Amino acid sequence: MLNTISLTTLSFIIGFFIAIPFGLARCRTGTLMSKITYGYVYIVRGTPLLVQIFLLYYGAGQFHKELRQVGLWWFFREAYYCGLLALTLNTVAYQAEIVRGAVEAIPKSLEEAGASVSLSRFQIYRFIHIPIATARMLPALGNEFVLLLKASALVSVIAVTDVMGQARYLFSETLDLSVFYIAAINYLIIVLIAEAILRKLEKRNIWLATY
Amino acid sequence: MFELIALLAFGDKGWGDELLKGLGVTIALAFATIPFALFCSFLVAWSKQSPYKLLRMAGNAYTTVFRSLPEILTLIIIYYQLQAIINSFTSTFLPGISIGISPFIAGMIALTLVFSALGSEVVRAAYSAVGKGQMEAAYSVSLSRRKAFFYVILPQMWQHMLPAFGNLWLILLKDTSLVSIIALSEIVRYTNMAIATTKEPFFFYSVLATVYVVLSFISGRVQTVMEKRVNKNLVSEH
Amino acid sequence: MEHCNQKVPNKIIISISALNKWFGDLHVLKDINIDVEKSERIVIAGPSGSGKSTLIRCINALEKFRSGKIVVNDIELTDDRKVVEQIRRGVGMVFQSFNLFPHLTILENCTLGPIQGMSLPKDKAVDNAMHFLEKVNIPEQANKYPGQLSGGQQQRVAIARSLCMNPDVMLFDEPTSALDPEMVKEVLDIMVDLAKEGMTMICVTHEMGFAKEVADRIVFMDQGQIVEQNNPNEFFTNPQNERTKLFLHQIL
Repeated sequence: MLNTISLTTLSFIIGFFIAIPFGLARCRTGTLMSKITYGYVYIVRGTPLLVQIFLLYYGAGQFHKELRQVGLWWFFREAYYCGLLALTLNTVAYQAEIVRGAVEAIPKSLEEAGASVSLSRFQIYRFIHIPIATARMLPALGNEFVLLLKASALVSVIAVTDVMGQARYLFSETLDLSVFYIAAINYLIIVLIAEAILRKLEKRNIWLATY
Repeated sequence: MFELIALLAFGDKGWGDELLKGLGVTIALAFATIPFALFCSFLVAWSKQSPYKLLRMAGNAYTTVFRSLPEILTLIIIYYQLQAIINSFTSTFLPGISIGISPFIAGMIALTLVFSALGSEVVRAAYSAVGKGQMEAAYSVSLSRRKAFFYVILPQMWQHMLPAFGNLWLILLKDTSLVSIIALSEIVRYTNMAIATTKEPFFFYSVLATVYVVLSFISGRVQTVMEKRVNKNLVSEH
Repeated sequence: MEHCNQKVPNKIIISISALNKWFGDLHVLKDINIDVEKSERIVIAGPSGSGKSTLIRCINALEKFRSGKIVVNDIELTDDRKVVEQIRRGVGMVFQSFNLFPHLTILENCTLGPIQGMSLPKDKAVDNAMHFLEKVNIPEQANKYPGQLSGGQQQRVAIARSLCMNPDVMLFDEPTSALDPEMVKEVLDIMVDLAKEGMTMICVTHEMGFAKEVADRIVFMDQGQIVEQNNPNEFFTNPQNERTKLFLHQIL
C-alpha cells in the first residue's frame, strides 16, 4: 500500500516539475524544442505503459555492464526505481499537454489588460498567467493523478509489492479470489478520497466556470 | 546490428511471423471489443438518464467502479472469477467436463467494462450538447421519442462523440497489451517469448513500441478522415 | 384588413380550462381559461416570465401540467403517447431559435415529419414540401443546409416545416425575437399571409404592429395569469387593467 501511494505521488510531483518546461516548450510552435517535445509526447502516449515498463526494466537489465561502468546500475537494478522512472516519464508526457493547454487558453486580451494598468512583463506573468493557468490545470491534473494511481498497479508485473503486487502474490499462494476484491476496494477507497480532495480544491476556483 | 534485424525475419529463423500473428490477435481483440463497448456505452448512458432512481444509481455505480479500478485488476478479476463460476457450474451440472474460459473472451469483457464506463460519459456529454431544442422540434413534427432519437439526435451526436471515442479507442488499443498477463497470445506475449530465447529485450521492446506508435498513427489518420466526413454539413457559413 | 364583428359561432379548436402549472414551487400558470376558435388569430403579449411561452408549449405537450384540461380538436390532452402524437400532428410550432435539423437539407427538414410521423410516401412528401417552400419564397434553397441560410431564411423554413404537417393550428413562440431587424419583415409577411388565408394562429410576440394588423384578439398575460383580453382596437386605446396600462406604457 505504501508503495502504491509513494510511487504515484513521487512520479506525479517529479513529473510535474519536468512537465512545466516541456509544456512551455510546446507552446512556441515551430521551434526545435517544440518539435522534440512533440515527438516525445507522441511516442509516450502512443505506447502502452506495460511496454514502457518492460523496456526500461528488462532493457536496462540487458545493459547492466554498461550501467555499472557509469555507476547507475544501483538505480536500474531495483524494480521500484524502474517503475518510478517509467511512471514519471509517462506522466510527463500527459502533464506537458495539460500545461500547454492551460497556458495557451489564456486569452491575449488579458495580457493587454495587464499592460494597460501598467504591469511589468514579469508582473503580468505572476498575477495573471500563473494563477489562471494553475486554476485551469487543476481538474485535468487531478484526473491525471487518478490515472497515475491506476497505472501504478502495472508495476506489479516487475514484482513491485504495491497493492496489486501484494494481491497477486497472495493469490498465487492461496488461490483465494477475495484477495483481488480486497485490492479492488483498496483502490476504490484511494481514488474516491483523491477525487473528494480534488473537488474541494476545485471549489475554491469557481470563478473559472465563468470563463 | 544486422543480426538484430535478422531476428525479425519470417520463417523458422526469425520472429517476424510470430510477431505478426500476435499483432493480428491484438487488432482482432480491439476490433472485436469495440462494438460491444460502444453499445454498452449507450446502454449505461441511457440508464444514467433514466427516470428510475435505481437505474440511475446502478449506472453511476458502474461508472465509478470501473473508472477507478486499475484495468489490470479488472481484467484479472473477470478472468479468474468467470473461470471459477464456470468451474462450479460444470462441477454441479456436468461433472467430469472442464470448460476453460478463453483469455480472449475475458479480455473482451473486461475491456468492454472499462471502455463503457468512460464511454457513457462521452455519450451523455454529446447528448446534452445537441440540445433540448432539437428534441422539441422533432416532437413538434410529431415524431415519436424513438424516431426523434434515431433521425434527429443521434446523427448530431456523432460530431461530438468522435474525438472522445477516438481517444478511448487508442486507450483500448494500448490496454490490449494487458491481456498478455493472462496468457493471451497477442503481440506483447510473443515479444516476451522472443526475448526469452534471444535475450535481446531492448531491441524487441523497441520494435514493439514502434508497432504501437504506428498503430496510433494510423488510428489518428482514420479519425481525422471520419471527423471531416461528419462535420461536412454541420459547419455553418454564418 | 377587416375584423369580423358579428360573432358567427365557429368551431372551437383549442379549449383550455383551469390550467395550472408549477415549476417546483413556482406557480407559473395560474388558473388559465381560454378558448380558441377556428381561424381565430390570437396574439399573446406580456412581460418576461409571465408564462406566455409556457402556456403555448402546454398545448403541444412540450410542457406538462399538473391540473386543468386542454382539449385540441376534440381530443383531450393526456399523458398517453399516442394521444400526444396525434395532437402534435394537428399543431404546428415555430420556435424562437428556429431549431432546424442542421444535419438535414432544407427539403429533408420538411419531409421528415410527414414521412415518419404521418407515413406519407416519399414522393408525396417531397411535393408537399416543395409546395410549402414555394409558399415561403425559398424553393431554390431546398438542397442547402440550414447552416448556409440566413436567420430570416431559416425561420421561414421552420414555418414551412410546420406547415408541411398540415396542422389545424399554428403556434409561434417569439418567432422574430432572435432575428436581426432587417430580417423580421420577411418572416412577419409570411405570417400575415397565413393569417389572411384563415389559419388558426396563436402568437407569442413583441411585434405590436403585427398584432394590430392581424390579430382578432390580444391576450395580455402577467405573472402567470390572463389579465386582460380584447380586440386590438380596444386593447390599445382602452386598456382596462392597471397592469395592462403599465405594460403598454413601457412598450409603446
